[in-house]
Amino acid sequence: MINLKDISKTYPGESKPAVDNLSLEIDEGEICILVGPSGCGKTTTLKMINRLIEPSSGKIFINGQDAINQNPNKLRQDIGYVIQDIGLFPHMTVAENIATVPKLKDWDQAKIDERIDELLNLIGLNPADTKDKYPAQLSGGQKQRIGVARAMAVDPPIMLMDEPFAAVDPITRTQLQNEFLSLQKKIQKTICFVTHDIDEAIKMGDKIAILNQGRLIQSDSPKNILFNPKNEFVEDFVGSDRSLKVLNLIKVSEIMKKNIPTATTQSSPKEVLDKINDSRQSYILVIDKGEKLIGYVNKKRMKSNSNKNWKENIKYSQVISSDASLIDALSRLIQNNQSILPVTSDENNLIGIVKLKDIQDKIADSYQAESELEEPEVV
Amino acid sequence: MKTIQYFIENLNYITDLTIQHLILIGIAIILALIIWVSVGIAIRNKDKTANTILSIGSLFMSIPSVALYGILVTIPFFGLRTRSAVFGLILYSMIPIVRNVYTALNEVDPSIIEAARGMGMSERQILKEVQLPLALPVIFAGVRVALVMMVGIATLAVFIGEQNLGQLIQQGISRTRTDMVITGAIMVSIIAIGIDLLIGYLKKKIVSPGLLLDDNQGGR
Repeated sequence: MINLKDISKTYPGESKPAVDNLSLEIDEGEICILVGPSGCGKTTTLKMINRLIEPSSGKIFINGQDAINQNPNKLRQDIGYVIQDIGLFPHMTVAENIATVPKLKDWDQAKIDERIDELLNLIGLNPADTKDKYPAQLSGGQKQRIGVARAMAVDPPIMLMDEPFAAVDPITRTQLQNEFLSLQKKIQKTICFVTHDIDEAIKMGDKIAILNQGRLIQSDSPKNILFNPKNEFVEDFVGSDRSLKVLNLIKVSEIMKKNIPTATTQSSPKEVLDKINDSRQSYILVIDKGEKLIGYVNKKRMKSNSNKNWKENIKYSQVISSDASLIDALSRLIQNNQSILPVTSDENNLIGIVKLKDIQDKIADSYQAESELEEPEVV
Repeated sequence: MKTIQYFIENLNYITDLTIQHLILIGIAIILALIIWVSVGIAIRNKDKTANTILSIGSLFMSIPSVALYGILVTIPFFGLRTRSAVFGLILYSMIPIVRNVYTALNEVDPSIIEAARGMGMSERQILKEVQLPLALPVIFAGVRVALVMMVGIATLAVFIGEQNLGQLIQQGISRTRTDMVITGAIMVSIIAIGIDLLIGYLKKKIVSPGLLLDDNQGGR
């Protein structure tokens, strides 16, 4: 879909090229992450794809067509572009911002309006509430979502994203990353994504291209980058906690336990205690009639307070979605000092649990996998 | 009391002078906007030229108005009365308008321009649809300063034969008629305040609410 052939860029007045003979292929529907230390040429590379920066030499093919021979404005209208500072137009409403490229392409107003509603629904914002707001009235996370919606306005097959989630707080960032990944499942764009954060690269990428001093050092799947670093630079860049990073690649759904014992809000106190004893645990999860998770009760409290309405003993528990990565699950467990984490669906239905111990086992597994993978390399 | 009496007795005369005053300022500001906004746009990417232009503007500003009018009337095309008066006012409005247009266009957040370019807008579209609308509040501030200044300086055009509210002030001084001076001064102030209110109203109408919101919340 995107094919960079031996592209180089030397800025005027500089002897060292910012990008040096870089070749890279990005397949259709793939998220390719350009990652590296600052000054490695990742942003320059990205901006050469939509020709915000003209390459000094080399060729760029988009969908088989030579990008250099096309009208740069027409080229850019067909490539979604999201930047770190978002760059929403503060004098335009959300709707007008999203309509920017459709208007450049002379869509009729009815089609534009329809598309705005569709996009806002897609990114989880209520069109009626959001459409007529100005950027100054939005939160950082909402602005970033609108920035993505604006880039997708004419449904371009390709999106370029330059550190799109770097300017928001860590919690919002994780949320935006997860949302974007589930969005990508639906939209299947070809995406080139720049970040300096290797964790983000591992989480978001189908393919990771590691750059240093303008050169492509290694481009590979996240797993291979983690376990088969090509040289010392990649190894250092990925960090010594590689096994921990693997947790980014594993979904909660892959290790969660299903069919767990539960009590319902209709149960009598005795039933609840029996169930706790049967399960040989010190607690039990409580759900309501509709399988929605209410919380948990522990054995000690049940025993000491058994005469009262037992439901007062129910405590709220942190939860996680089955789409989340194990690293999210682990940090949530540690932050809340829990050893188990209920897994819930979007509708808050209980679907399983993750235990701290299972995550530990998975880390141990990956250490083993790592040594297996590395052995043939020694030869 | 004397002032009120003078005002009532000479209502027609005062109205005439006020209209003359407004016409002079009206012509001057329209021409000034056409010329100086274009200049401001033309120099937006040229720092060196901009510095030269802005120094020339400051130079005009530093010439006393009476002296400037004195020079202008000696130029055949301008001569006495309106042409010189209008041209003088245009020169004085150069700095507030050009400087504000130039600064406002250059202060537009670079990430906004980059986003616009990245979406495939041409440089012309970026100027028209992004930079200028974003620069409007600052441009309005410049126009407001220019207009209020014009109202005052226009009174001095009576020395080169213009007929406007300056006449009341000038004649009042030479004939030691306080009532005339006060009437002239009050009328000039009323025009200045009126223009200030008008500009404030136009700003609310023309500038995007998204930007005014921004101002209320303490800037970007």
